[in-house]
Amino acid sequence: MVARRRKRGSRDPEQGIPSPPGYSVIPIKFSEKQQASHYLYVREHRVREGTKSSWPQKRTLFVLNVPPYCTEECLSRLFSPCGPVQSVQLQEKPDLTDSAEEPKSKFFHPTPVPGFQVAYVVFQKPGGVSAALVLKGPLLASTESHPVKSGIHKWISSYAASVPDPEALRAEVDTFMEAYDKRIAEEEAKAKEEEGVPDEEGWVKVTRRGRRPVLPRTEAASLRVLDRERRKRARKELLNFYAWQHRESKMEHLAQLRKKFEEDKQRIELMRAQRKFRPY
Amino acid sequence: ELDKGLGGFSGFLVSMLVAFLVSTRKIHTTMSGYQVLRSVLQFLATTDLTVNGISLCLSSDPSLPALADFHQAFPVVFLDSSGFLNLCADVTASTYHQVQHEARLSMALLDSRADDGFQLLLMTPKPMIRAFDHVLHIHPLSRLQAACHRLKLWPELQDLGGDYVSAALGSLTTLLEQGLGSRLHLLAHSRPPVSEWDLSQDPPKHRDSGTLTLGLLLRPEGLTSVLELGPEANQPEASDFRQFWGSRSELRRFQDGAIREAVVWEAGSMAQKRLIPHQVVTHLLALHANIPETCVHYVGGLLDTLIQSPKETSSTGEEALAAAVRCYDDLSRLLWGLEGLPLTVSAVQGAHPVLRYTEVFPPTPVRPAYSFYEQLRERASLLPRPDKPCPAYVEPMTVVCHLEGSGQWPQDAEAIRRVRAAFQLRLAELLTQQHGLQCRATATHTDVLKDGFVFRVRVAYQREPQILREMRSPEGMISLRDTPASLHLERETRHLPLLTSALHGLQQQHPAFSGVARLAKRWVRAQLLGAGFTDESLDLVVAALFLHPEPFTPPSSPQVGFLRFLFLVSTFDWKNNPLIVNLNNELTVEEQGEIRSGFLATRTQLPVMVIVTPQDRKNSVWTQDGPTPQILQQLVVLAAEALPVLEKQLMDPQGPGDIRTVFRPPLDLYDVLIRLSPRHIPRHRQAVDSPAASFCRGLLSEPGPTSLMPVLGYD
Repeated sequence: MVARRRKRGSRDPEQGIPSPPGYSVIPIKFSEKQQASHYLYVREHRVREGTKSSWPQKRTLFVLNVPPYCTEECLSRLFSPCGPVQSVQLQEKPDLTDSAEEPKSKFFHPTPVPGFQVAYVVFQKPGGVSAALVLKGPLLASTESHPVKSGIHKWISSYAASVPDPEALRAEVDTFMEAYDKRIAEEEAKAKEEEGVPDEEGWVKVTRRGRRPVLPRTEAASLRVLDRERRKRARKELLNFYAWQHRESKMEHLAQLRKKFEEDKQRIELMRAQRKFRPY
Repeated sequence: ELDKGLGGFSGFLVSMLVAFLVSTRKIHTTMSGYQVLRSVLQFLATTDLTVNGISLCLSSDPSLPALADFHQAFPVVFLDSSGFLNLCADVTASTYHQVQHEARLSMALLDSRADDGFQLLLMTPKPMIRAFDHVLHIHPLSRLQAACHRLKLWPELQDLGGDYVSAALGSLTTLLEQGLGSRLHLLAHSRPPVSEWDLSQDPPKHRDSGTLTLGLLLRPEGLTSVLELGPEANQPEASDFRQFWGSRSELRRFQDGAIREAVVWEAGSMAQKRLIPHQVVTHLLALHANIPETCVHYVGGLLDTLIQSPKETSSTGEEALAAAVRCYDDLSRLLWGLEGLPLTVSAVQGAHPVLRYTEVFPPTPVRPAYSFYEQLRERASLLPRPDKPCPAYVEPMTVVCHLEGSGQWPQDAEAIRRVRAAFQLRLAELLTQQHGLQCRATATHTDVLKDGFVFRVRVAYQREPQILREMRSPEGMISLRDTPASLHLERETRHLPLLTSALHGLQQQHPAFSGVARLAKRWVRAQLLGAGFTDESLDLVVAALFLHPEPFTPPSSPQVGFLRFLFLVSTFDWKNNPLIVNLNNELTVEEQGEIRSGFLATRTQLPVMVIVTPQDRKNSVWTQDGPTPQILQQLVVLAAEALPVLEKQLMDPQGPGDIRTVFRPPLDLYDVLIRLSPRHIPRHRQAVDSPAASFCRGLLSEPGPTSLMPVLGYD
């Protein structure tokens, strides 16, 4: 019996809650009134040897199954008893790189409807991680001091947030377009000065501005070129010259006839199955 | 169903007809079955046996009665080989006209070389309720006895042995045909079944032989005329006219100075105009045949209550839709003439069901009561309040605006979005400055409030889907692949406006399209399946009823269209056939054949329900993420169940009972039912069974100018 228990070692023996192997379970409730709780699965963030990760190794906690009512501030508040929290990041899927791009514009990339998410919590000290792994007790996402909006209030506030602010939008668009225009102008200038200048191996890049006409680098253009080559080759090759060519063309013809026959048989089967008028 | 009952055009008559055609060398013994069918149909369609009878008798004995004598006694003359017996003695003129009409339709179908002509011609049942626009039942048949006396039909009564039903039929039909005049295309009646009785019993009485049902096939042009013009007052025909119409005919003076007899019917809205034949029929029957209105049960407008708006019951919403479309036309004119935009507007197209007349609940001009809402002063908008019930649902109507072409657009997807946002902002500013309209701009659209209607204007750039499709391979090669974003954009900005304008055109040709589409969508949504089907796919299925009505004629009333919709959904083989909707007749027969063979080849990659239009021949864009197989199957099963129930209700002479039975979904299928509090359902009044009381949703009833943007799309 002990061996069986060990084989199903993924069960948390105290509460009987299944969890993935290696994770410990922390129940989390929305508020006092709820009886059932969701479960957060936490683990220290580990990566295989050799893979890079931008999360600091010893101090990061990886949390699965974060419910949608749990925001980043909420998580940092809940984990602060374990130790001072440096940062929290919520993502859709576990991603090794901390993609620190420029923060997404709230006008152009509206946040999608959240489902259950994944969180990376970075503590300032490694002790916080180990304290978090033994954290028990149902965590409350919404208390009197930090209520989380739900229901009517949430919908009203999200509607109010969706009403746009034209001035902010205009300012953002202007800054973006300025940066964009500057970037395009720089690229043009660089391309112009590199015109016809060979690089370190002696190759000269062929661009649209050169004296010779050039094909655009699209798939359609390359397909056109290949097609033309093929047609030229087909014109030049002799098709019925050798004896093996005769033999092969006859066999191909027979195979094609056989294939067509099979197809027709299938088609007739289909038509017969579909026939609706059955007088007998 | 033409061959059933007494006086039907039975199989015996058809065989005699074939014999006649053989004897006159129109059919040779070498002809195939199809050719025989074709020549019979052609004969029926082109010759008129009420004027020139035919005879199988070859001898020209002078003692035989002449054809003219037969024509005086019987409406339809077809003599047998003895020359004394009229085989079509019991066939009334209206039945014969019905046969001719069907023969003409069938000839047209055979000539058009449609793919499944056999199926349509010979295997589609055409019961009266589905073939005729309006149907009326005359129930206690004993009234027809009084009618016979009133119409002085004693010779006919004697001829038929006291069968007052058949005696009255002939004159009743001529009476109604004269009264309905140009509104009517065809009038047909049902025939009582030939009954059998035991030798020891008396024959059953005539009044027990069921009900008499008359079917009216109406011309769509005659639907809107409220006036029956008569002759001028000083002519002798005027007295006949007055005598025919009784108390309703009046002398009126017209614009051209003539004083004529005329009959005017009161009808306010389109729905009431559709029911004018009801008024005509009841008036004439009461006046001339002494059949009171209580005996006549008219089934023509019973389903109209389902597309009426909850507040006004006299119209079925066509006027509201027309008002919304007029407001849209004004807005598009304003946009065309807008100055100050860096690129001028080249095209404005609608992309919303309202603008193709198929929205189930048309929008009404809104005027919000400010006390009901919170106000967001700096953005000039209204917000819902948490303590009040949910505000009324206002849906903005999407309009796509194309600008003139220019090479200055950036080639990067993010940059295009920013430029588009700048255009939206500028559009909002200009509309507010130049025309005083309340606007609100976001990154992707601009909401414009005009005359109580809210429009959502989207600026579109034609090359954007192409740019979204470009993908760079690692070697630097650019290839074009369809991404979900590019497909979505193309659907919203190119396909949807084209579809909307095509269906708008269809509505102009067939005015009943709007009613049928709205009823069909109402039914699908009432059965809780509305989430699985896009609006556009349902509109296209209804359009198929009008563009390919074979073997019927296009419907002129919502009721018959809805019944045909149920029949189409339940009997169409979605697995093996695409539904081809030939908008504007752009697809030729060869192209349709190619589409079908292409469909068979790629059936596994296509979605479950495939609808093909001339604009999208391969992909069926409207059902791509459309119904799953389970939902489609559920719809088919529900339609198959609903159709006989509804038909039985409509054919019941006692009155239809509860017409909304078909619109209530079966709830015992579901494991969990979540009941919502009606306080926060903004569309509570739109339920199939309208609730007795609902909440005030913060709208004032009389329209007027507003200065703040109402709560949009909040449900």
